[in-house]
Amino acid sequence: MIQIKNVSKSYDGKKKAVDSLSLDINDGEIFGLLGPNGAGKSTLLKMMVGILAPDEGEIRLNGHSIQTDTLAAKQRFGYVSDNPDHLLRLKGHEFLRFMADAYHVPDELRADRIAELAEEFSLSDELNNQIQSFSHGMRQKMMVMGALISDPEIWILDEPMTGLDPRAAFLLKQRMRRHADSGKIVLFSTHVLDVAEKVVDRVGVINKGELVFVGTVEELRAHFDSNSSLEEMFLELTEETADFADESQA
Amino acid sequence: MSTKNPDRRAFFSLLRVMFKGESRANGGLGTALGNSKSRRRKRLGRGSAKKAATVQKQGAKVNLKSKIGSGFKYLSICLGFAVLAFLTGSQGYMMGLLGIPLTQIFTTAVLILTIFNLLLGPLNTISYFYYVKDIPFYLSLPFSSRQILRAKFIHSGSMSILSNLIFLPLFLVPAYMARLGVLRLILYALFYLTIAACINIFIICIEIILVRFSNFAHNQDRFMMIFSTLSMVFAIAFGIGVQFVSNDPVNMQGQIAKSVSSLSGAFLVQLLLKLFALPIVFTKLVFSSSLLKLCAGLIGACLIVAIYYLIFLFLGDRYYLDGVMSVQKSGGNKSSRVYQKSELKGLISSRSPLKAMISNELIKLRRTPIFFSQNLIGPLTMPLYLIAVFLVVSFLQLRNKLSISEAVAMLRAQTGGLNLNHPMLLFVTVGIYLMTVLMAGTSLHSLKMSISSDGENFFFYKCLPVKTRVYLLAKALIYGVIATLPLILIILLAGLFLALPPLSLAYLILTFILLMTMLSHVMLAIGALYPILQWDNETVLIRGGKNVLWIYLEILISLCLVLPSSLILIFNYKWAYLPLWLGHLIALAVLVLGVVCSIFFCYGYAARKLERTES
Repeated sequence: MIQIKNVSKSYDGKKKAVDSLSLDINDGEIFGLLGPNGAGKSTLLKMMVGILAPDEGEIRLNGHSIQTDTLAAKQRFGYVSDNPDHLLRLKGHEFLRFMADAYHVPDELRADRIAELAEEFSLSDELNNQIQSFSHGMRQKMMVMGALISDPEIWILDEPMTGLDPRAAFLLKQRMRRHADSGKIVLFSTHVLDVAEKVVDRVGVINKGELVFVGTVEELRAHFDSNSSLEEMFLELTEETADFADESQA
Repeated sequence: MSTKNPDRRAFFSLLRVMFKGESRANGGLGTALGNSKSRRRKRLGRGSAKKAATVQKQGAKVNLKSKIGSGFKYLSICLGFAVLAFLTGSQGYMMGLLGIPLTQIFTTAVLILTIFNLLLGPLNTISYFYYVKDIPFYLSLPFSSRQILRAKFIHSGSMSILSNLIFLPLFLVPAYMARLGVLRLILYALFYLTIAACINIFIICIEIILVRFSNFAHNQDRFMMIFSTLSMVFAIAFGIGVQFVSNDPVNMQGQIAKSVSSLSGAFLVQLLLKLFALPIVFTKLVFSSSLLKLCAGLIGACLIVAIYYLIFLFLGDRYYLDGVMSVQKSGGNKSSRVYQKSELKGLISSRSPLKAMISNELIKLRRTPIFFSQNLIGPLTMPLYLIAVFLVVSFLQLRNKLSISEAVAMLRAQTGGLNLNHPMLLFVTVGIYLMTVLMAGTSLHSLKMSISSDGENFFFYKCLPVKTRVYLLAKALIYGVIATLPLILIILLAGLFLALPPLSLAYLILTFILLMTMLSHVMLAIGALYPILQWDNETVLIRGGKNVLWIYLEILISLCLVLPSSLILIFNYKWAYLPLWLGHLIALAVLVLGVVCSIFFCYGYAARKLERTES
């Protein structure tokens, strides 16, 4: 379970990028974090994975606080950032080995997992090449493979569909579904509302650092009492936040 | 700029962007605090005027800081340039005093210029023309390939010509000493510049053909590693070779005159110069007493430059764009090998997080050209260079007084008795202290830069379940070994060769290890406290102007750190309160304390501060 309690973050000490945000994400669900540019989605995810420290509040990942029990918390998740340009000088297999070492993946599981992931993401013939020779989409896939090699309890992805071809995006969605169905958590942020609509169990909408809605897509439709697309509801939500924010917190 | 000629204005905009910083061509505009937007908003009365004023004030502070930083950077570049120009000028002065003909001095200057450009030119030129990341962006804009080509030519050419000015004083100073008049000096300088321009254009032409018709330059990393290693080897060989000429006290003058004369007349040298620096055929005309002949020679040289330029345009129009596109799509050597599971098992066996981090760091060092040359080859070869220079100078000083075997025997007779109570051991120890301080500017600087060299990867590591101390320890081990090992071997071999008493040798090695351990951890801690994690490319990180300031600061810090132990040794020697061996032990104890403090500082305070570093 992910527990986020009254978390706030500001970059300049004045304007809050995330403002007193509280959220619980349960095991076995795919949670989509939606929001316009600059809403605070990436800031929230970075606080969860330890890249940024919250100014206030607490974040717990399966019972371990990211602020005080950092290593144990980090052991619980695999993170895919929005920028896949990491460790570009490593070859594919070197990167995966490194990730397996960082997460203490047992020897007997490594070869099978790597072979399976490489097959699934069509990178079997690229493992002997440096990541810098990969296209953006291939780098993204490599980062996904690196995050999944430890079969993490929590899988956190920031804009994972960016740069992926339709097949790769489809495979990723399937992977996310399988991961959640095995009792684990998938949390991802996206602008691509179609993806969110088809994949997520619950959705959270962030606007200007505040969580303006949490629930299923059906609950969202019920509120608007319409069969509008998620896109239309999202646009309406992120334009008028005040009243609805109070209702969704109740 | 005339609005009636939009093409010309567009061209100058392109040129300006290239000069300002290629990687900022399509970003970073108006993002600083207090930009024109806030001033405009204030003017239009929109938003809070007070807020806009605050933002503007903050922006002005940021602007001032960045101006000061840039000022330091340019000042250090100018100072470096001035020092090098002074050195070449002083060599020219010496040659002038020796009465060496000006044509020979000029030919020598051109030879050095040619070799300098052949070693450094290909790498610089290809970086400007092909390896800059903004080229695909330029290609997507409405510029013709000739416009891009010309802009690149002006950009790279002007940088090359500026660096080539270093060798100008080599013949201008003796020319001035011969009272040849300002006009002649200016014309000689112009002649030199036409030769410099020819060499650079020739190199560019070769590269245009090379990139278009061969894969050699497509692997950017390999190309850069080969040329950076070659230039380092040459610089070391040149530095050692110069010692033979400039440190021979008996026959120095004759040696220099002879060297210059034989060099300038040698067949191979003449061939090399006529190939790359064709205007040199006009040297006799230019350096004749007749002003008319001088002008004729200069015109001839300019004509050759014009022809070279036309050839460059011809080749560039035909092949430059194709070459750019082939480099863009090449991506180096690609393997399509598919590993079987049994093969994978051998490749991906488990390691501790420390070993994994060490492995990553070594891969980064090996495969990133600039880190390879600056942080691996440089620190490994610099001590060897210094020792080689020391040996050459000693050899030259002694060779007319003693034979090598006599000198060695005499030295061994002295060093064989260097126990801990011998004053000479004290001076050797202080010498080791000074040597490690000097290394703060080379090998130990790599430690300070080791965290910064990760760049954005640091934040990737930050979200992994790897302790910050393990991250730091991996760097301390790698860069510490690179900095320490070569000199330990040299001290050991020298000690064995000179038959130092075993205890004294062990003491010297222990002193050196403790010093390096202490300074390594302090430098690493500094790097953790002041990391530079946002940079566009490795070259900007390593060669940025701030690095020069940091190096001076690191040398100062190292000096302060070694001062306590060295003062104990010196004061004890001077006033002899305690037996010398006891002084050595106390100095050693202070060093041990220093090591302990530096380790706590690095893995305690600095590590905690690094953990709080945010993107």
